[in-house]
Amino acid sequence: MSELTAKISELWTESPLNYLRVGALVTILSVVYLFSGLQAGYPGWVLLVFNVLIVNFVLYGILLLGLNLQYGYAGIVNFGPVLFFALGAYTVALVSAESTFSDLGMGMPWYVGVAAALVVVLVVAFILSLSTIQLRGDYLAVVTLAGAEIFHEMAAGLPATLGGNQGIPGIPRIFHDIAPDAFTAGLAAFGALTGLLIISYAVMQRLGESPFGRVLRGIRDDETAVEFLGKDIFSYKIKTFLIGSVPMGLAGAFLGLINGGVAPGFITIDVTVLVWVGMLIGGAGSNRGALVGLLIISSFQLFTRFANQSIPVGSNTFASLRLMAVGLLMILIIVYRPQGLFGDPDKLEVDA
Amino acid sequence: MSLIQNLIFGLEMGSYIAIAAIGFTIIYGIVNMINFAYGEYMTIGAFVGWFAMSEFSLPLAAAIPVVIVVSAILGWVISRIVFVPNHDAGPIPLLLISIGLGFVLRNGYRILLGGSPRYFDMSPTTFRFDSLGFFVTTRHLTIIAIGLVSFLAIHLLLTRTDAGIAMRATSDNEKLSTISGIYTDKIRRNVWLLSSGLAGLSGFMLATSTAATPLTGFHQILLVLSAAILGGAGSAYGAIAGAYIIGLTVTLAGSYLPGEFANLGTMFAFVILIVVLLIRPTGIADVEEA
Repeated sequence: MSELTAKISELWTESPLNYLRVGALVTILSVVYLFSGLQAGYPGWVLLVFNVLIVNFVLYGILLLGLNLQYGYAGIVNFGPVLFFALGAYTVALVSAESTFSDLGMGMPWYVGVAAALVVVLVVAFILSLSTIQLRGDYLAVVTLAGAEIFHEMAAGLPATLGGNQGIPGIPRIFHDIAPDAFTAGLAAFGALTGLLIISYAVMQRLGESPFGRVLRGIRDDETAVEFLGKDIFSYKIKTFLIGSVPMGLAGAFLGLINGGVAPGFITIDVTVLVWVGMLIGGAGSNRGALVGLLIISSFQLFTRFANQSIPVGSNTFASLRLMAVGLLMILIIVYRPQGLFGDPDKLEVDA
Repeated sequence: MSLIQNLIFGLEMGSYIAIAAIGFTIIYGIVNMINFAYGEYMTIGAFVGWFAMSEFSLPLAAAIPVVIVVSAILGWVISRIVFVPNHDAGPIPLLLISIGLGFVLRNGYRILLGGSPRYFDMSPTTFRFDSLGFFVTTRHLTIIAIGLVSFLAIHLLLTRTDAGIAMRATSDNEKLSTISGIYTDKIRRNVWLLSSGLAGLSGFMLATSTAATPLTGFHQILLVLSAAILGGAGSAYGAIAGAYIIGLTVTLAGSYLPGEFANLGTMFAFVILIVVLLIRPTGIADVEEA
């Protein structure tokens, strides 16, 4: 037995490649299960847990990995990650939706929608970064936040172009359309997207360990010194912004493909704040830490959702209390532990 | 709608945005932080005004000083707890703290006051100029007048009083001011009183024309921010100019844009903000003065 464990630990080193294998395996198994036609049977509350976690942990986690590359590694204060999330979701909707009562959506296959989403996200990220990346930290935060707000306003205010407050329905639901029932779909979706999260983690982790990632950390800590070494800071920052926006757009695209629709309510500033709080709890600059931070936040949300049934307050009051707690947590972390739970205090000087 | 009518609406909007933008930009100049919870400070004024006028039946003229004083004190207390101990943390941490504070306050209001809008009984007198194609109500005139009086008061405060001069000095060059014997720490602590009072007044003016809700100020924060940055961060006079530009832009865009794009009035304020930040990060005024 001990020989076996030794052999496994010999094979299993903490390398991104291994994570990549595991992620790919989980995804493939989930997809195989989805097409196998086997029905899953489990209690209803588990399905609720899956549905909450798919959005609040798995998809936001993929988004978070992109944000952590930008802020945690390179110190780029992007306060509008939800903009790229929204662009991904809305592009998939416009390209792939087949809506009966609004003539929005071209009805293309879902993978064409995802490809288009990535193109749109990259183009917007390129334009935005080209023009703003040199701004001071707090100005950059303002511009990215305003950019996200502009898109939100457009989505809500242009019914004929982006669906208005009703959003765009009729996106193909890649899991629910195939699976025999909601339980099977929930399980398969949770598995496949978790696999995608692990793959994203592996890619970002590898990127962070590479020479490219080391330069980014250098830029975060001391821009002048890195410039003195002959690195083109500007192009590094642009690349970082572009690479980081890919997982954001991808997460948004899958949000559309899971929900079967998009609406302005999915792309509010709350998404930005949740992801930022998650990243700060875990510690910016550490992919694993940031994901654990997000898991803490989403577990908290999940837990309170169930707790509300036993606490005698209205659901509106309860939702408000929950958001208050998130805000308070954000303040306390910044004040008392800016490096987060797992961050390295020497590595991350939070001031821009 | 006629052009004159839009100008009146734009001036009204510019007036309350301007008062808020001054309070916002003063904090930016002196504490060197972008306060994203500023909209929530404005909301305090909206509710204080509503209670003063509806529950205590004060007339408007008596409600205004009450709003300013109560909002100033409440805002100052909140800031003393949350911001003042962290003044030296740096711009990004302060920005993040203010975003967290905004969440706490916004949702706190919702719990304490409920989400339903509270309307003001302003019963405006309307003056019609049908031959010229526009009308004015006493409320428009009152808000524009409050704006002008406030600008004068702030101008006198900044130029004629020791406290105001010390504030401008601190905003310009904190180290030099400290060496010159100005208690900059005291200025940085107490400037929150002025900033919160202005926020409250602005929120109150705005709420009289719409309603007081937990989100009253939150919906304005990006407009206020746009005005302040347009005017040059830290410049009170620039903020006034920026606010009127924003107010007129939003009103005119909402009136003259075709079809559904008319819904995007506020969006153009953000577009202006981004363009200004790209071309002239120092703002249009570009004088390094508070």
